[in-house]
Amino acid sequence: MTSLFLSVPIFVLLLLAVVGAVVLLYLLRPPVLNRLISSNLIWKRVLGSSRAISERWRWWLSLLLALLITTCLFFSALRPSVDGEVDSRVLIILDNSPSMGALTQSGASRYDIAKIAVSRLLDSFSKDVEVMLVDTQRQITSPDFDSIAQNQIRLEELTIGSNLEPIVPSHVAELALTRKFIYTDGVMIGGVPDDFTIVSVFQPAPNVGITRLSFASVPGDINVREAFIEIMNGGGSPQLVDLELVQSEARVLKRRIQLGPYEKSTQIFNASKLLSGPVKASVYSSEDLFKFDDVAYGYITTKSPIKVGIVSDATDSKAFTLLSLMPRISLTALTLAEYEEIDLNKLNFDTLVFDGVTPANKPTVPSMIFGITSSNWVNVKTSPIRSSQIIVDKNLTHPILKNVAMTDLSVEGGVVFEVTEGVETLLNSEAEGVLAIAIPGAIKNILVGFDLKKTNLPYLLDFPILLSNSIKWLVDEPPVMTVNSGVIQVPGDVTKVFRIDGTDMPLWFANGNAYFYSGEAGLFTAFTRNGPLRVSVSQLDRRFSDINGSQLKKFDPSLDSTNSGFRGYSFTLVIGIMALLLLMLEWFFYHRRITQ
Amino acid sequence: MSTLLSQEFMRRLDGISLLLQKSVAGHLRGQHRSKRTGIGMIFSDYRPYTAGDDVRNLDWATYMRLDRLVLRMFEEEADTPIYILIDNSQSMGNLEADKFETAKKFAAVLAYVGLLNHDRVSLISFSDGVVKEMPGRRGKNQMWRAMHFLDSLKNEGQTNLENTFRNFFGSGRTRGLVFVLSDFLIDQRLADSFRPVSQFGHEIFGVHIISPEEENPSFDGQVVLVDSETHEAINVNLTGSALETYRAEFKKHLTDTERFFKRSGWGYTSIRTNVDFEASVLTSLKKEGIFR
Repeated sequence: MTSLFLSVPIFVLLLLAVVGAVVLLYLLRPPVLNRLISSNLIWKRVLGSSRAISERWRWWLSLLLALLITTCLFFSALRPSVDGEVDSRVLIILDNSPSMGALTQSGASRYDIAKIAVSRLLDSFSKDVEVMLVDTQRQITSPDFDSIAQNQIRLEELTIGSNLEPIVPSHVAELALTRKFIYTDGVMIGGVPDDFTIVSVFQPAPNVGITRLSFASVPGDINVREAFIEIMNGGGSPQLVDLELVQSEARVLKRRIQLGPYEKSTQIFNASKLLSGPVKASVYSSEDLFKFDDVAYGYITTKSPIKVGIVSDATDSKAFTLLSLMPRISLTALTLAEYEEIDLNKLNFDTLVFDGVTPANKPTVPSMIFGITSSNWVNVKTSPIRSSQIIVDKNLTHPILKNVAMTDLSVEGGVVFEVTEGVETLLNSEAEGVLAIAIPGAIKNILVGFDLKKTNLPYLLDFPILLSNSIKWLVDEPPVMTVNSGVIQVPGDVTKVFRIDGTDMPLWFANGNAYFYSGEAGLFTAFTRNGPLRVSVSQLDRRFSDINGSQLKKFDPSLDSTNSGFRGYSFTLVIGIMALLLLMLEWFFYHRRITQ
Repeated sequence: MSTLLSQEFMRRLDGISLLLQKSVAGHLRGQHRSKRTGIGMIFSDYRPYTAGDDVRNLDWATYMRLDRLVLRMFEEEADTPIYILIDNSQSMGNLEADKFETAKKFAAVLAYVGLLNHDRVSLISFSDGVVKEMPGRRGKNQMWRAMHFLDSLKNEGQTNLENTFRNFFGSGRTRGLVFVLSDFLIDQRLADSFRPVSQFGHEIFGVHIISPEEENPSFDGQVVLVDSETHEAINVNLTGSALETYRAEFKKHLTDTERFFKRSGWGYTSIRTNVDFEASVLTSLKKEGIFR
């Protein structure tokens, strides 16, 4: 049963209207002529014979009208009683999942309507009633039964969440109560148990949203870049959509497309003119009533040619041979002596690879060193490999070893590292120790404890992949982290997170990770030891845009009280007017009762 | 003298005498046939002479022929008690005051004629019982007393005929002529109401006083009808059909009342308040055989 409520002022207004109408009816009653007659004996006989049947009908009709009036007044003024034993404890679940942000025809969101309805429901309870208010986004982390006033405060603090999978704890949903209410649009929430009173705030709303956004270079030509955008029409009417990709005033891509009802469309833009950096994608439709998914952010990372310097005294450097074959790499070979003598700033290397030699000083650019020997600048403790044949364990979670198997790797000599804090292990031998490490930071380093001549690594099939991964890790920015809005998890070494407008986002740490919250789309930069990490927060999911997939097809307009005037109370008003009409009818019958 | 009857009308009444269907049971000498035998003009029978009989009534001719003393008997002319009961309940007065006035005039006519005929005339006003009584009077010179009694009557109470008859006739009244002047608007059945009086063998005559306003109401629409006796109010919407039904019901009331009196072997007449009283009363009573 749908609950109906009246706020105190409206109830008083309605009461005054009813009283006023009754008084008016009394004043406007037709004048009745009093006639003194000898005896009404004959009249009684006349009326008794003529109205024997009709009077009985009138009596029943009058009784029926009186009952209807009472019922109407009861329904318009009070909350209908719930069948069964009335509990002094009430459970109210408020759905604050993202789809509740859709606007209704009145201009208020589904969530606003639900929130006001819950507030009114709370007001309608007596003071001794205890209420447990639960939201589906777990903003109320530990729901419990509490006073009406406390729940009003909690209700006020609730906002629309961004979790696509609304959760109501099972122990809450299964509470043995006679009065359990849920206010929802029925879009994202799953099945509701039968013992809940469902108050639907669902109203179909036109919506066009971005469900996917990505940027990719064209294979074979790193200078050509494409943007992929998927747009979804979540409403039942065709929409004319303006799609826009903006990087700056000068770098804008626009397109206008027509989308049919519930149609999805993938649009591909030539985004070559966009530079490395943030991109804002937005869609606009005149009838759109759900703005949550209209904007998405992306980040174009650097994909320019890499200048690599390889430093080796060997004439048959396997590393040189492989690096020279990579298309992005512009390779320059140096001996250690040349490296020590020349001005590196002039050559402007992006990274350096040392093959079997160790520079005297720490390189000023990111570098990878094979066969490092103990050196003053190496800020790790090393010790020589004692055995000739070792079994290596690989840290396959590290981006350097991504897609690298290195099966049957053998190492015949070199040094092992004593890992300290801030150093990432790449290759490890249980018998000997750590063979290769990665040192993150502003200037990254990859240190390998063995020389390529003392290992079969160059002959393994995945050695090129290892080299490529290493160069990327050293030079490229980390990949953009694309997440949905809400609580966002970033690596635990993040020290600061800034929004694109410079706002410092509050961070909290738990279980070795850092977290920050964003309820809306945006672009963030998280600073880690490895450098900046771009975090793109968007609502890129079809479930966000599918705001009309509700199993609840009814919407009670009386819940929409956000409009001014009496429109919000239309249903209650209808009942009130019906009561008045019935009252007038009853009045008419009262005066016509003893008539022909 | 009261203004109930005009001098001229009273002069017209001087030549009228009362006719009774039954022989009367009066004790005093009057002008009506009596079951008693005695001094009178109408021969009744013979019977053997016994000692102590009035020798003036011996039939000497028979004695001469048969040598037996035979006494001639004559019907004794006696007076008759006339009980004129006037309904002075509220229903007879109020807006339709003519009804009560008509009843009083009718009673005055009856009383005058009765007194002229040397009958013992009693005037009784009643509503839910006997309200006021003028004990039996004889002789024309008692007319002023009757008029004074009638003038002193006021409308009060509700009509209860049964109670009235029980009160009045319960104390053993001589059989006579009973006039009941009323509108007969009573809740009880007439048979039940008249049962206390019917068993005493009185000759009863009902005079139904009818108001034309009652017979044909002049109002319609939304009206609250207030009963003058019970003050009970009825809220009615008088449509044309309702009035038609009322007229039919009132006519039925008149018919039923007349039928009751006739079926009981009693006299009945009705008089409307809007007709010429003097002509109407004489015509109706002569028609019913009361006046000659």
